[in-house]
Amino acid sequence: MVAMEAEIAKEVDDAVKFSNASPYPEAKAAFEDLYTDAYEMESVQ
Amino acid sequence: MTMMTYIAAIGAAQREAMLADERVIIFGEDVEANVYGTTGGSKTRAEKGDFVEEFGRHRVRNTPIAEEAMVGTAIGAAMTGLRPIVDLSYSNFLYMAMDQFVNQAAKNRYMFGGQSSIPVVFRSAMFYSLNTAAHHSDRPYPMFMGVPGLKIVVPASASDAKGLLRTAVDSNDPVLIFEAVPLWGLKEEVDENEYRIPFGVARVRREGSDVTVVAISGCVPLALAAAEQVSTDRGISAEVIDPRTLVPLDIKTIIESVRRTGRLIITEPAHRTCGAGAEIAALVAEHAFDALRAPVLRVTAPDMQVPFSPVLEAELYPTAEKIAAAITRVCSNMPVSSESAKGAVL
Repeated sequence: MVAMEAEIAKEVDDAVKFSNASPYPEAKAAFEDLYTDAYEMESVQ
Repeated sequence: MTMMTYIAAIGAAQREAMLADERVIIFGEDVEANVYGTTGGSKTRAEKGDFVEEFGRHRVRNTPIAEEAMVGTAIGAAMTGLRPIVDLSYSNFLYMAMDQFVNQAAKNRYMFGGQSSIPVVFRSAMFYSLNTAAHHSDRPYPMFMGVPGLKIVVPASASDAKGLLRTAVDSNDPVLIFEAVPLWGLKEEVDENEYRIPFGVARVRREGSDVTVVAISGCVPLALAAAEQVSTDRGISAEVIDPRTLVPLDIKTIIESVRRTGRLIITEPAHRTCGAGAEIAALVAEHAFDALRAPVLRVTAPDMQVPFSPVLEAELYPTAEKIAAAITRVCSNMPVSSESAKGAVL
């Protein structure tokens, strides 16, 4: 149990470090992962 | 090709999908007994449905009348590898599962950063104009159009119902199919072989040059009848377009048509306010306003609950006569009437 908690804490710490070290996402990332196929919601725009 | 009803085409598509992929399962209200004829050939609840015999109860299963549990179960099953088709029966019953639709089905992929997909098909039937009263007669597809992450399908013919359902089952996103029950008995030549109809591709049901009529779901045959009527009576050439899917919407085909005709009518069985017609009118105003030679008109149901009285209910929905009147009006470039401004009929 102690080992599991330590492993989880490390994973979380690593994720926070990675996040802090990473640049903010580009604006276009706000439009990703809504659908699995990337069709244009308004193809005329 | 085989002459087939709309509802039989749904059943044929489900059988094809079940045969093609063992990950496809069907569950929902009364699917084992095949009450409406989409899961086999048995006629009574006491008989076992053909699908149950053919595919087994591990793939065709009744659920309790608990829509939130049905939809939630389907989402979980889809995220872990199955491809459920959920029969929710009446479209009104979708409201019971709104949290699962809006907060889970539509958002899970986005909130997991694209690491999950939700390949579920939710079928429901719009039992309007059949005297089933306010709790069973809604046409609620527009409110789901406002939920990013869902795909919205509104087949209007047997061949489209079959091909669109196969595409829906292939989709890795949640798809809501709204079937107009008044169309269930409509017959059409249908290819008995497997085929798919891509989402976001409208079907031009009738070509014309004077006015574009975008007809949705149960309004498609009415619009075709109206187009025939105004052609005979007044020599007006009406183009009738069935979008077939509302999310994604083939706005290109609609705009190209309006640029040719200069006039647009949208007819649908849903309420007027914030209906699919309102969205289509807005898109055309944004992208083809310069092409319009007359105001855009909508022929819809008014913002009214559905009465049980057959006489009163019949007053609510678009008819071929109402659509023909709207066509005549825009082709005369007449001003919008006060009746239209009230949203009563047009």
